[in-house]
Amino acid sequence: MSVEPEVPIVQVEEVRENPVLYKIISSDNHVFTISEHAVKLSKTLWDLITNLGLTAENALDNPIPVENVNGKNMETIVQFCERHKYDEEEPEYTNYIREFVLPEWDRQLLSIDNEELFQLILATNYLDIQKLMDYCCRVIGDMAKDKTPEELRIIYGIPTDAEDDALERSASDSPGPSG
Amino acid sequence: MIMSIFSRCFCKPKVKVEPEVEMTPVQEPVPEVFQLMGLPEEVISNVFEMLSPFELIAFSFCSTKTKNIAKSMRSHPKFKKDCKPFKMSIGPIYQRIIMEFKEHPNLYWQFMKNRQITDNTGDQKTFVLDNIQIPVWSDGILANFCTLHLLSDNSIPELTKFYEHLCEVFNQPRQLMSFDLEFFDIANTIRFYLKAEQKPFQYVTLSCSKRSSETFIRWAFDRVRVTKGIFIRCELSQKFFYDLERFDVEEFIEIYWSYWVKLEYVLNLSCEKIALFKSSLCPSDLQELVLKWRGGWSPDWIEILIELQEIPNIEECVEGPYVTIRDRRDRKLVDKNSDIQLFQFNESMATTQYSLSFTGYHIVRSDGEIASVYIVNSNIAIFTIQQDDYGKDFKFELNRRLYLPRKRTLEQRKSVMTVEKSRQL
Repeated sequence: MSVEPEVPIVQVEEVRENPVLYKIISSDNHVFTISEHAVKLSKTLWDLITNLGLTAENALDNPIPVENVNGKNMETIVQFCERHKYDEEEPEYTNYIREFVLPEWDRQLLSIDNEELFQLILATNYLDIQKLMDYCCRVIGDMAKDKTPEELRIIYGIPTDAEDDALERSASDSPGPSG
Repeated sequence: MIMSIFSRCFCKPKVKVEPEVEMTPVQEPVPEVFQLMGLPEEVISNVFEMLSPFELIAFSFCSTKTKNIAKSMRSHPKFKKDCKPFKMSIGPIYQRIIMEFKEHPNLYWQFMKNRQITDNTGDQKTFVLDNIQIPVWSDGILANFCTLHLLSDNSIPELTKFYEHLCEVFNQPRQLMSFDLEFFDIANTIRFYLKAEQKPFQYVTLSCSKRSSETFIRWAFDRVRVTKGIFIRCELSQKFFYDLERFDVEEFIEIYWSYWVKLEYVLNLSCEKIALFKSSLCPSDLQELVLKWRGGWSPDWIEILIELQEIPNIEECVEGPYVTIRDRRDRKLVDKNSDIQLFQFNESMATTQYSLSFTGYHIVRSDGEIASVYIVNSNIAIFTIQQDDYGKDFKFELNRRLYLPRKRTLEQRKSVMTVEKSRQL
């Protein structure tokens, strides 16, 4: 698939250690360049690259379309991956609730409005980037600090049981595709 | 039923209405909503993993759906095995639920209902649980206790529902209950737990001071429903009597002030372990027990621990030639076919926090049965029937109390000196 970019390519920092770069095209046709180390943080993208057999020689000639992620989210994701591409691998998560403090750079990156954060999480989930997912979940979890259940219900828009039941009833009452 | 109760709990704070005063309407900023429930369930679970136990509990009260997600998240083996039993404690001054998680070492999370705090706090947010006011989220850190105060006069049935909700969310069995018999409403509380719909607890602690009526204590003992183990911490007179066989428990009976317990009260008990602290039993009782067993009698229990009134001389409790072995645990060192029936050991172990000495004997009976009688730290006597199915090693499981710092009474200190002098001679 060949897509002509309508907007300038987003440049990443020059990669000194590893010059292999890949191109990614977002759902709204923005093109991003991402280094090999950074793209490996996304299990989905790396599996795709491996399955497509992309190499250092042909990578830039074969942009990867990602139809579920728009340009705005992809830009954040690429920035995040480039920032964390040389991080040490985290020890296997086994027993304990992950109590960590969000680094300031990442807190700034994720200081976006709730709707944008919601969409970013869906994109992160699709691209399977565990570290970014943890950081996003930390941001959401932090909203719950010192809150009562009723405050949580408001902050997170949690329906009551009655509202859940009503939604379920209306979903089952509505005619299906055939009808 | 309970689901509907909890879905109604923690509803909006009550608004104080003063009609005489003209109020200027205040526009509160509408908070920006994060549509958490629109995320895939595994992502919500991931968010829940970031929360403290109190935050997760708050979520679990929002709706049945959030409760089920919290429950599902906590049912993952990585959490399930690291959750310690939750304890509900009903005392005269406060009632509380204590939670402990291995993922938060040395930290207890507790919900506490303390009358003094309730009476002095008028402006807390209040919530409704089964039509009973439960104001919560007044938090404070006390030492290693992370505390949320339950500030209302909610009754024991509501507190029990709260406990059951916590057990359900964290996938815990209904395990630990502690009753202080001096709680003002203890009779009704005991009657409440007698009801058929209330499942019995696995482990129960009963405590009271000398002021409690012994007739009432017997009444309470008769009505406690417990399946596995009972701890009794009641200061009773030496004349007190209770048939301990009435406690139908599988694992243990542990009595802290046991000076009223005579040897014959415990001989026929059928739980696995018995522990009698601060007893009035003497070394002669230990000797009688050993002689009885060597004579062919076998108890249903496996182990008895007795804190004797005096320091025993263990050599006087057993008679006959013996050999000394270097490792009390090594079963191979005890030859059942030997003419020798006594295998003496004298070992000690120490860490930075405690030190323990073990002085005693493995005794081989003519029918091949083996029991161990030994003294730990001067006046704690332990008599254990060593079962064959333990494989290589003899079993030495010590009561957790033996790891706690202990003070000796004046009589015990004198007795230690006497025994040490007699050994020197």
